Amino acid sequence: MKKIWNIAKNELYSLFYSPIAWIIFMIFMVMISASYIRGLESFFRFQRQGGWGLSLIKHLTFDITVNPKAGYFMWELGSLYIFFPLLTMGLISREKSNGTIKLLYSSPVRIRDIVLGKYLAILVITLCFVAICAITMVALSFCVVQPDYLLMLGTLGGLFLLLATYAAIGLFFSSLTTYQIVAALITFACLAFLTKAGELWQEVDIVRGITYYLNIGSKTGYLMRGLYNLRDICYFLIIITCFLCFTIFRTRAFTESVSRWKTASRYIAVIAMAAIVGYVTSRPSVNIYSDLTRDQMHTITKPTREVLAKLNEGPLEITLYANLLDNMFVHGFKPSQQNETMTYLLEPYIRFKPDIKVNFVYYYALDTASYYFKNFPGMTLRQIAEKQAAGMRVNFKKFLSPEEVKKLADIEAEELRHFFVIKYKDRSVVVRTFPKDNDIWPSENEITAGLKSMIMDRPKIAFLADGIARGPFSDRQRDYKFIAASKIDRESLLNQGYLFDTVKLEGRQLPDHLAGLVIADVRKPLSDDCLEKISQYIDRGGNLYLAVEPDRKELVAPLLQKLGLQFRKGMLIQPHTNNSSDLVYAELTPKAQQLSPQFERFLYDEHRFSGDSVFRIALGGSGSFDYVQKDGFLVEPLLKTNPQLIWNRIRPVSADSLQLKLSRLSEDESSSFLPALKLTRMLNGKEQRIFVAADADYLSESYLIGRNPVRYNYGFGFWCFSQFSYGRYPANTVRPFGKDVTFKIQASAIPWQKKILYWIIPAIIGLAGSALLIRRKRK
Amino acid sequence: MESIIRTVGLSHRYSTAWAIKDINIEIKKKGIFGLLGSNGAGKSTTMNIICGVLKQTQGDVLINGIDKKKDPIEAKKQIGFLPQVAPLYLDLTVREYLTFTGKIRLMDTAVLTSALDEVMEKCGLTHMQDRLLKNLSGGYRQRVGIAQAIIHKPRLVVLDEPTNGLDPVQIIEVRNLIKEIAEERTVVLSSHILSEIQVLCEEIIMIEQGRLVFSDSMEAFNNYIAPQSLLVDFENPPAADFLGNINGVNRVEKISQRSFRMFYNGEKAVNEAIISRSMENGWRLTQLTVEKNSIDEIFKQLSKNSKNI
Repeated sequence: MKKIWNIAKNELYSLFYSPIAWIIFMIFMVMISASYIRGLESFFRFQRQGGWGLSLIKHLTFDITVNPKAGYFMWELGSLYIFFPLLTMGLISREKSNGTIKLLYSSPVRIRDIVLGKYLAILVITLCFVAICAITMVALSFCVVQPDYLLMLGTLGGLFLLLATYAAIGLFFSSLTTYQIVAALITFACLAFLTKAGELWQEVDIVRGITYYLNIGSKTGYLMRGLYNLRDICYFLIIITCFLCFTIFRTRAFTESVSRWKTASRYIAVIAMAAIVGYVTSRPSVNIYSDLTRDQMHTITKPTREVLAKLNEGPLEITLYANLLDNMFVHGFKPSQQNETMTYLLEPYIRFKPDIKVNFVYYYALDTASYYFKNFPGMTLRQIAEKQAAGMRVNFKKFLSPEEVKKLADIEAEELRHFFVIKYKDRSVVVRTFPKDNDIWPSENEITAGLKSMIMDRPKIAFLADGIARGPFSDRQRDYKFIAASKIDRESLLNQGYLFDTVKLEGRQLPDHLAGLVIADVRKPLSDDCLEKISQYIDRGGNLYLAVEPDRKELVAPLLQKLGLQFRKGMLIQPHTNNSSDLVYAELTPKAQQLSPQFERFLYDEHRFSGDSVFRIALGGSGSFDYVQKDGFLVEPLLKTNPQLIWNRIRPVSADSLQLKLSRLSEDESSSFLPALKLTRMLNGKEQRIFVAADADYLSESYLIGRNPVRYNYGFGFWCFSQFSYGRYPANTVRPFGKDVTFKIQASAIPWQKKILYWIIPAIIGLAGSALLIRRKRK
Repeated sequence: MESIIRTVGLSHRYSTAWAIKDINIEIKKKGIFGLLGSNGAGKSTTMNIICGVLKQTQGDVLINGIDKKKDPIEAKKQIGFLPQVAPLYLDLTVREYLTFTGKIRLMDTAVLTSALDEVMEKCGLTHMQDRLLKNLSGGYRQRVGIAQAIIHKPRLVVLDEPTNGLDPVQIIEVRNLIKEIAEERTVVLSSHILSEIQVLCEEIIMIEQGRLVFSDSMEAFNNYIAPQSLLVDFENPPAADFLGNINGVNRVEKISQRSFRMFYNGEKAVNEAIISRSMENGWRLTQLTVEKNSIDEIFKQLSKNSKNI
């Protein structure tokens, strides 16, 4: 070790007694400081502005440093692979061109010691770069409340491994030539190759895995973002070891004359060993992960982990069905993007269940009304598909025809989109993609809902169809498809694990094991038989959602009476300047805000970002309830009205009059009215949950979302229905708040940091270097 | 007595051509040993192999009885090497450089400190110790090169053309330094200049076209290359036949009226005989010059001999 250190020390003299290192340190300090200040200012501005900008602040340490989109470390990684070859180019080539290599060869040191000594020296330089980055992190820790120190250390560790790899590569290329500039250029080319390797030949099945594995960028990203794992650490160690071995071989080659075969066999042996170790350590079953972020940002949540832990009786199979002719095909579904899909979407799950088998099925199919047929008149589906495949440079042979793929999956039920099918034992479920969203992929919520359905039945909600206007499936504006069974909307109950059905009670019984029954807007009188069956359902403890329109309240009066409720005569009126007066904004009661932890968290975030403490539900022509508690039901209001703004008009109002801005009449009732209630009681060891609403419109698509004021119809309706599964669905993947979400500095501190980081520290580096070099020059 | 250096069947091949073939050298004592050969003869290859810069294709090198193949580290500890171009880190000062060279020769720190002063004193570098190497003249650089080769007090010092590129004054200084070093250890010195070898060396090893063609004392070498003829001038010359009768003279060639070339057996007695006969007979000898072979002719001849061996 002493020999290695002596050689390293001599190399360090050479590096620090030349101006290159000092100049690079100075430039890098300025560059990384500029990036850091830019990130700091952005997030500081978000905090100062408040409002929705705050939603961008989740973990300041992560966001400012290593967020893939905004982190300053990620911006500056590119500059490092430009700088580094300038420092490594002379390590051995200088010795050769100066003839000093003979001194080392003739000294009682091994070639290995020489190479390791050189490498140790460049590792010290690497540490200098890491130290420069650490300065900005120290600066950040003065700015943020409770910074995530472990993440910072992880980031610096990842950076060190990356630079150590650059160093090993640079060292090798320095041993190839006596021309330093040639060594620098080859090193640069090699680093560029490794950075871009993940994009190379991804469409070729045989080499896809190899080039993706070689991609240095993705490995660095994981480590620097704080997700340490054996595969990536081994990747760096393998590359470092390989290049150090190559350097030893190359340096030794100058002292001996051996056959080309022997020389090649040495290299081949190292590459073969590297391939074996790389292959073994990249197996999911071998990989070990450690999420260094304080809030376990890169780890799926505990409920998901618990679900995966229960899937322990065999492998899980996930198959992606991707349609060549879907518009979103190029956004992550091409065969060349398989590895990205695996890494980005599925690795977090594979981490906890290594025997997840992932398949990719590619097909082409079009709706007969598709514009493709109009754009390419006379062409068959296959011809259109071939033309598109050629345009996208994908191998058409990989794609199944509609007939072939229909034998594997019901693509028509999925409207010919991209979707996953999860299979476990004899169960399977579809997890969809969402082309309307910024991120098309299913989130942890949807995936976990799918995984859960492998071990427990999905809750089924049935809509009564006897004389009922509202159902879960149709595209009519007044129906509940948007919130219930829409396949294309991420947050529909269907995509969160629920099943929907419609039932007719005339001559039939209610199906067993219903999670809940929905009776939304009865338009025709229910038969006695039907009422009796519903009554029996309630008596058995069945869950119910009952939505009533004021002008058809009598049709469900027997049911309301059974529950101890009375529909108050009249209609709620709230005058507006721009809307009709029957649009009433009721407010969520505290009980309603606590329908689920997820909803509570959602409303808390809304409060933080918008400042609202009143959460409104828009009702369209709503009445209200009076109640008495009976049959053991606990009645809790979920919505209430503001008596200052809303009153109850007993006198009938014509539809035409409602379009006017109505004024309060003396006979109008003024009070805080209750448009929605929740009734609960314990029956047979289970809590029966019944929701009643004095308006059926508020969950129809046209009422769900709106602004001025912001309405929360979607969330309220969603979580009312979700009460039927007793917390099993949707999966609770809400993560705790980050601790590092506020700045502890004032705006005036940023210019000071700028001065220190932009000017003072680079100046100190420059002065130290200059002093040293001038002092040396005088000798 | 253990050999300081012994090579057995030393051969080395660059790609397909043999640079040296079957070199057998043995040196057992202190002093300066010259390795002589024309350019490209294989001197540097031999020295590089001895010093560990190259690994031989065939054969063995034993330094102080240690097989360089089996224990290269221990063998290299016994060697100090100055390649043709002094291996200097020009950004270091003399002291820093020599400290580094001492450390990579695995010297203890305590020993190194005193060795530094000693070697700088010996090589006349003490007053230059804080100078950067790049600011030194060629002569001083060469001294530093020699200093690094002896700082660890090796038993064998190998100097590859140590006076190459120096001016005459510097050459003399370096030669003196080499003589001084050789008082305590074995110095192998390579050169393609015969006179330098003759001035410095006690024994001489000649390599030509990769083969050892001569290995013996300088005296033997001098004899080898000597005199095959004498050039004589007389004021009152005798007949050529008369000169041919002198014992040891093989043949006489008349060059002019007064000048003759006498081919003889190389014995000094012939010179004495010519002088005494001249005095006795009144031939009035005005010049007697020993004619020696040129270095090229010697190499040619030695090569021919070695092939015949």
